[in-house]
Amino acid sequence: MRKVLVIDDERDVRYVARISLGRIGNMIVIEAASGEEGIARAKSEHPDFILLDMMMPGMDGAATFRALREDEETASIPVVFLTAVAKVAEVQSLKALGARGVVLKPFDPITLPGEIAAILDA
Amino acid sequence: MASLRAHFRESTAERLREMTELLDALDSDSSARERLERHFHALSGLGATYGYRRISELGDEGERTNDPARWRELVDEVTRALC
Repeated sequence: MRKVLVIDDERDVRYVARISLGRIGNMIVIEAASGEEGIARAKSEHPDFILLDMMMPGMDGAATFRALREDEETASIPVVFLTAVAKVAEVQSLKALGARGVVLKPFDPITLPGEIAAILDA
Repeated sequence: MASLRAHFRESTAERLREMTELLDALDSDSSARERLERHFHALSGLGATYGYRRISELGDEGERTNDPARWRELVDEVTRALC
């Protein structure tokens, strides 16, 4: 059973991701509401992958991703970005730096687990 | 999906209360505008994810407008769309 860490400041996004990935995707879901909390939980929980929101106040997704990459404890954890369409161009540049993939918002909670699996298993 | 929609209705009602407070504080709270914009952004994305297309459209308009009077109208419209 895969373990996913969902990092998003929006409680409603974390909630629907938990339902989607947990109940439909049969994954263990860990949550974090900020980049800083996400980094701490990544170190303590050792998730199989991270679902990371791009737009967060304070430490945004890009800064969080770079911090995860710079820490040897978290550098190898695959990261999939969650982003709105308008930010895709920016995320493409992060894929070039090592992000595993991108899931666009709004996402369908029914198909999200399949999308994630397709990215991780590619 | 029914439980997701129920959660969204409850959560959005709480969000709308906060947005109304922020609208009232626009002249006195320097962070109110940015926080309102974030709420509209959230409604735009979450509305679609939770199956409330009209709320997503209203959130999208809220992101694109810079008019507090129109923001108030949008908050009222989201409230009606929730019912």
